[in-house]
Amino acid sequence: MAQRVEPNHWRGTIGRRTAVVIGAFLLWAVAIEGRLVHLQVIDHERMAAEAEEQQSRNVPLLAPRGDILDRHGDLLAYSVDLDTIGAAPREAGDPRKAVAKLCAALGDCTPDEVRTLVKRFNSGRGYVYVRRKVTPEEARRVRDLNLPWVVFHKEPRRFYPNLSLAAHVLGYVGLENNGLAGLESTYDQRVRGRDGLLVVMNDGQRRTFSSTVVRPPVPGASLELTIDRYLQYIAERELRAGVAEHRARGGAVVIMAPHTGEILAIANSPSFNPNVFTKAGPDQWRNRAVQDIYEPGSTFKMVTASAALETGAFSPNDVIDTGNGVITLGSRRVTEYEGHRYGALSLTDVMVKSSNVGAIKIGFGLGAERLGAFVKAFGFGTRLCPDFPGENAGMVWAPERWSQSSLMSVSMGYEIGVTPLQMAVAASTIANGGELIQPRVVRAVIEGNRRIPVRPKVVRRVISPRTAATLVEIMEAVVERGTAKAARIEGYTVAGKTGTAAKLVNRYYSRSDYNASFVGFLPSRQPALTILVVIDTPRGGKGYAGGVVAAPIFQRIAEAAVRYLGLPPNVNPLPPLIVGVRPRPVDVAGPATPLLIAPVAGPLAEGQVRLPELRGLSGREAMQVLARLGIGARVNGDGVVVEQTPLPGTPVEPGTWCRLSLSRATVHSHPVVTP
Amino acid sequence: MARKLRTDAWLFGGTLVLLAVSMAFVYSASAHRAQAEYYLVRQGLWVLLGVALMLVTMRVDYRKWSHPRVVQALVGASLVGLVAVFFARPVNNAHRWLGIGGVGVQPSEFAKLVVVLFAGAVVAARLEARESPLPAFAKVGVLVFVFAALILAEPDMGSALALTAVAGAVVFTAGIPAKWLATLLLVLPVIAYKLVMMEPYRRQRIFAFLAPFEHRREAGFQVVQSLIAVGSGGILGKGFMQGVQKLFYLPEAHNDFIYAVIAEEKGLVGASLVLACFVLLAWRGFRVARHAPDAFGSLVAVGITTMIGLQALTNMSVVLSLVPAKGIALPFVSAGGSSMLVSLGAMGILLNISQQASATT
Repeated sequence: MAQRVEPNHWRGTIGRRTAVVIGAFLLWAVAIEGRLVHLQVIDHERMAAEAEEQQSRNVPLLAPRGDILDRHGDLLAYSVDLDTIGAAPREAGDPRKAVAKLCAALGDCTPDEVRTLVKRFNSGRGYVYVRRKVTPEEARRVRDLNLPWVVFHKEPRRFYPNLSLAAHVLGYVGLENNGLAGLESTYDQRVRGRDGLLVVMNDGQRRTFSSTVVRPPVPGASLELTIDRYLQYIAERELRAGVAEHRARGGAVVIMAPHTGEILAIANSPSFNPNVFTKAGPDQWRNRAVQDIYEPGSTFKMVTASAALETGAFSPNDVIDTGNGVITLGSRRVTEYEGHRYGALSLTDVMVKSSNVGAIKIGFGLGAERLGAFVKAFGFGTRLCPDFPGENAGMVWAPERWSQSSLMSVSMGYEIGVTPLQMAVAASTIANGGELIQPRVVRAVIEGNRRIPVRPKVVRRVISPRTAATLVEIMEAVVERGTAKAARIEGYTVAGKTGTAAKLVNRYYSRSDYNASFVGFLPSRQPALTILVVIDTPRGGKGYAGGVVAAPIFQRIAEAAVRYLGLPPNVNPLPPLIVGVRPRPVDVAGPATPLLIAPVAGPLAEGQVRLPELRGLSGREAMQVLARLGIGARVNGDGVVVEQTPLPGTPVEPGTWCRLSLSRATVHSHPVVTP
Repeated sequence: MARKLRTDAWLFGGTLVLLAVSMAFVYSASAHRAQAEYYLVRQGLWVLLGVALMLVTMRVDYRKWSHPRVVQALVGASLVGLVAVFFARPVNNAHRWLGIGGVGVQPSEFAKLVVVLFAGAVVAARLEARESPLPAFAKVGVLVFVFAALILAEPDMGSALALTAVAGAVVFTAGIPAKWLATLLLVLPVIAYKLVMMEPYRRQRIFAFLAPFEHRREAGFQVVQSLIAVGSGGILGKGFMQGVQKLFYLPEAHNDFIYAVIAEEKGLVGASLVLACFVLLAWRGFRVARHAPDAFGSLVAVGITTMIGLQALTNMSVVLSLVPAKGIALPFVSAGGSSMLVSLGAMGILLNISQQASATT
């Protein structure tokens, strides 16, 4: 085992030189490890962000916008998913040719649109819109082109199936599904719902390999309005006809249920079609009934008379000397309408004849402070309804700063700006016995299966029931034998007041431009409807007085309304004739009638039961039914069930609660759609 | 007298660990593709074939590889292969592949090992004869020049450089005089620069390497995707099979950029372990070289260790953008047959040398 004496000289060299190579390798390995630490620890966040940016994409899951329904559940607004056409210009080749192809398929590109599209295609962006929310027909034609660079996706489009009906109440929705006017704007947050979020993971070839719903979309709530589609139609039809007949600049009609504050119709002229709202202008869009103020003139004498009677300063039979029909204050001279000379008039006759001199004398008798308090109490100068965006509060000067001249003016409805809605509310206050009830157009908000009713809200008592009753008599006389004979309706007692107010044009009261108005309610002793008609600047040959212009429109609307509602005549009523076991309910003003909604026919999960129809049952019966199902009841009121939450047909689990509203009022039976 | 040692367990074990990693991550990197099993099965077959080859070569006395006839035959076969590629159908505009019975073979991979054996044989013969090795160096230089020129013409600069570097390492350890060395170190960078500037795609790769994120849309795309993969992996990684970058963001995820997939899915920990495996192999390999019974064994051990270690470090450096991109596979791990067979065959030779390594120094 003797070792070789002679050393291998090459072994030394290889030993030394491999050491160098090993050293170089180790250094290199250390550099790699350092680089790994740098990338994976220090730069990790930045690299992870880079990865996320290129790998994932956030896609909004559009929440369906809620419907808007009238008081009977008829659709006034709903959304439909339509195709939006987009394109990837980078893959489309020559922009001009590409746009030409698309326009050939669309068929109705304007030269302007072609130019805009070519510009968009040249913008260098990866995705551009071609046309949004197109008709199915247009989408089909473009789809048939089979162009690989054309992209389709769904976007909701708002539809108003009744076209311009109730346009001003509903408002309209912009391209981005955002409410821009009317209820669409006021309730935008709730009707819109909340968009969900989908995170889509794409591979390196832009193909989606996974998607995660990070946040599901919350569907928007639906609105159930107080509006009655038919009454709205009547109001709009008669307003349109009236405006045309009198070649007026415009007008407004408000129909309310005086006992609940529910607005049954709001009509404005001119109007527009919210489906294509961009084709109209601000003049058409304006909801005159709540956004415009006018000097009411004689209709305002209701307020003056209310104050006079409620304060006890006057009684209905007090005689007021209107002399020769002229009253002067300094240089100001006020005369009666058409120069009448009424002489001595009772307070009732001051109203019946709409005597300016009489109203002013009553105003003087009251003084600014007392009259001003009632002006305010009736709601003038304040916003009444939270449902309308841009509601005008009106213009009421502070009573302590009224001059005698101002007092004169206010007494007969001048120097004060009111909205048609405020005037209708004031009349409703008298109609319902003296309580100011908040006007509203939204009767309930429906979120999923939950119906959240908006309760009537009594703002304040303005006058006593006694005063109100006296005023009703006076206003009946106005229609029966006064300025508003044109508002009479066969078989019904009507209470009302006319107004003819000269418009302020260039700081002077015009002798040609008037606001003709009439406000009234019927049947006067048990009012179901308050109707206000204002016609802006009637110029026809028939005159401009409220009794001539507005009262007949009121009459036509009221006649159609009583027929539609089946209101029984209260003058010489016909003997009752029984035609059916369940008569149609007559009280639109009564308790909120339940809305018919087909409940969501969701699948029944393990252990769930479907909530039965409970409306119409007595409270006791309803609770027995629920007890058998193991569902608790929370009861409000007494009598029979008029409302239930959740709605019938909703899948519920035993052990949960059902909310019942009971009322003694009659409920009309209705077909229930059971899924 | 030489004392027989047992096969180096570290070398053998390290190789098997890398093969297991290969199976796992070739699958992970290709599972999303159509015919996902295809890549796994294919890789499995190559690994089995390679391991069989390794088991054969580790039992063949390494000295047989120094026989002049064997060396001549191998050199001849390599030349034929390297020339033959030019008559084969080009893949991606390059003549790197030779289709044999439906299987693509890269002659350049074999050429690397052949150069090692050739250099070891001719240089060791001079050393054992106590003669100056300089004429042998010249022979090696000529062969390397011919091979490298042919491979460059394919074109495959990465393999040409690797081949040159491996031969260089053998010559360097064999004792090339410092004067020669200095000359080579001066001349080679100039040649490399010329070669890089000659081809626009190589030039772009260099720029992309220097500032990858500024060229992310063009030449830097691959590098940026690789860095994103590695960086987004973090310390512990996204988890096996959970990587996203392999989904067509990374080029050649199962092949040249498999290390990026490992780094994304197993993080700093996994990437470091793979690096550690190669460091282990290099360390044991050079240890074999120092303990080899004769000069041929020693030089071949240096050559094989350098061949595997250099390719591994280069591949990882490309993935981490430490060096400009070039198409070099990660030995034992990347999908692909030629590299796998040559690496495992070479590892068998190295293991055989380790068995016969002398305890004497």
